[in-house]
Amino acid sequence: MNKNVINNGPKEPQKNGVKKLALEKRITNLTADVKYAQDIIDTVREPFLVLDGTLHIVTANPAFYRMFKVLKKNTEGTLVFKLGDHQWNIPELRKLLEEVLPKKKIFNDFEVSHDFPSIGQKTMLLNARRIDHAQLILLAIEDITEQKQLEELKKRNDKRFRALIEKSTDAIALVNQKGKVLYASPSTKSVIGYTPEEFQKLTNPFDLVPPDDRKIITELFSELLKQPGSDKHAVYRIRHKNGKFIWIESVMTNMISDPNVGAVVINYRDMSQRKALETQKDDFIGIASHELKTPVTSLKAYTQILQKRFEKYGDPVASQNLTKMDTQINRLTALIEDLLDVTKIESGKIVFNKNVFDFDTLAKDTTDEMQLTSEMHKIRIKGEVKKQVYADKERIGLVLTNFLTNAIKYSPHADKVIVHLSADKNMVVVGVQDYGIGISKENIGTVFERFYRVKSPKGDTYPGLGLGLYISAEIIKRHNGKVWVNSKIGKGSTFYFAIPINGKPEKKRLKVQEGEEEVKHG
Amino acid sequence: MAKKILIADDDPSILDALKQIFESEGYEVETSVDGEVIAKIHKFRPDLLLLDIWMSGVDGRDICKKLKSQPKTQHILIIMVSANNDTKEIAKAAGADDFVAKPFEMHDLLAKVAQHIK
Repeated sequence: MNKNVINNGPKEPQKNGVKKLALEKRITNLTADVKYAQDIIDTVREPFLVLDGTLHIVTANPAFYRMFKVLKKNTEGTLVFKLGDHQWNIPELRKLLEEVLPKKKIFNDFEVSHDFPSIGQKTMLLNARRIDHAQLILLAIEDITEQKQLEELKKRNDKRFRALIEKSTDAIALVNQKGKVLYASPSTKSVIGYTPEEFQKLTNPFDLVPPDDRKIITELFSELLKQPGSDKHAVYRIRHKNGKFIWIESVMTNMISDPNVGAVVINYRDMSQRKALETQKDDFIGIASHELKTPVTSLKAYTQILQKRFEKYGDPVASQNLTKMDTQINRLTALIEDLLDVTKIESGKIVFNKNVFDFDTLAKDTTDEMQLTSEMHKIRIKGEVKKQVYADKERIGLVLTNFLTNAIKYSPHADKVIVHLSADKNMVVVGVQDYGIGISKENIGTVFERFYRVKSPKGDTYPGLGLGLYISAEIIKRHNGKVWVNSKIGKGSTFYFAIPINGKPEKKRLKVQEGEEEVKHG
Repeated sequence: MAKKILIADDDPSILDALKQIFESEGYEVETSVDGEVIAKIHKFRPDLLLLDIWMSGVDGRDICKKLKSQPKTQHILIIMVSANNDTKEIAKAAGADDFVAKPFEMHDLLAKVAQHIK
């Protein structure tokens, strides 16, 4: 149409020349305006419809076609509610276009959810304007489906995480640098008796910790504050609202530098029951090993009486057999001792009876005793200590016995075991060398762990509880010494321990430490 | 005259075995299984008491302290016996002359008793 007007222009009479020029100019401008408007509509990323007064579609932008998967030829001139097989026949939209818009001229951000057969469930925000002079309606459609889904997801996640915290049997608190409680979860009530509100009113959550634990826990807290992102684990007592002290296992995580958290997260777990069970277990093993030792004691006494009698009345075979029987009773005793020792180590109740003794004599006595258990291996001592040592003689003897037992056990085809003795100014060093199966590289780090047991190449295990080296390592550690091992598979191993000659009184063990260590109370 | 030993333990088998051991070495032996140690002491007048620390119902430490605190009985040598090696210090604190851990080597026990009695 515009084109025609422009082309017809030059044919008009001269008089109208000025008018014509003005008209042409207006038309040019108008064309530019229409193009400009069309460009805007086309460029907008949101679907956009232009409707006429009768709600038929005049034009739609590419975003509309793209989103609703309809063709231009089926769209322009169609009643909007009939578009795409009536999928736009949405009651809310009908109401807006037919009732609201004629009165109000405008509506903004009207949210509509609709299941389109072609593209599925969508949530949209509709904005419309009535342009009266052009008899047009502009309808902008914003697809907010994803945004809605994200919001829903976020809401659900929030609810889930909140549930995790609120329904957890552990109490969880957020505490700021000064020790002020910013948040306490509902379980605070079931764990320590205080409601979250009461707990928050405390000037400091450590006020509930008895004084001797408090000092340690406060130190631990300030240490934690120096290390952003780190965590500390501690077991200590806390005064329940009912006045009784309960055992708490707590993990504190420093998240102060995280702007979204800005606090230390403290997790409180009631471990009174576990503590009680542990005590019960320790007591049980204590009683059990005591009870086991009673018959072993009389069994051993009778064996020795018989052994002596057969020796006296000249039956060497019976006497030898009874000596062997006595050795087996000693093995049984050692197993019972191991059980008892491991319990004491675990519960921190192990007591050392330190005395001054001659180390070489102990080494010789222990070696002589062990020699009786193996006819195949010749146990030799190389070197000497030539010093009096202050330590728990029996337990150091036990360590040497354990090393020798292993040396014999794991060198079934060898004929010797060597005990290397040496000393410098401060330390005694003992090495027990065997020519046995050796230890593979991947296992060498774990031999001193509790319940570690060697597997033969065929996968069979060797007899034993797997406690000997663990107990040995603990005994040496508590003497401020160290244990280590050199080994080559197929060639044999040398197990070493070193202890101070003048074993100073043990350092008082720090009650709370990072990781697995826990607070111990004497 | 034979030296006299009183053995107090709540396990009859241990008493039986120990009685045999000490009698074969020429000691005169009495045993107490029920904790009536003090009464037996006054009747038997032993030179040495082999006293179990943990007897059912009786605490060996109390008996030891009592005997060591009375002029009539404080001369009696007391060797305490326990299945728990850690109680050695407890025995010393109760005033015992020595300590033996269960189960014992016969020759160690005999040597220890002989060393105290002389």
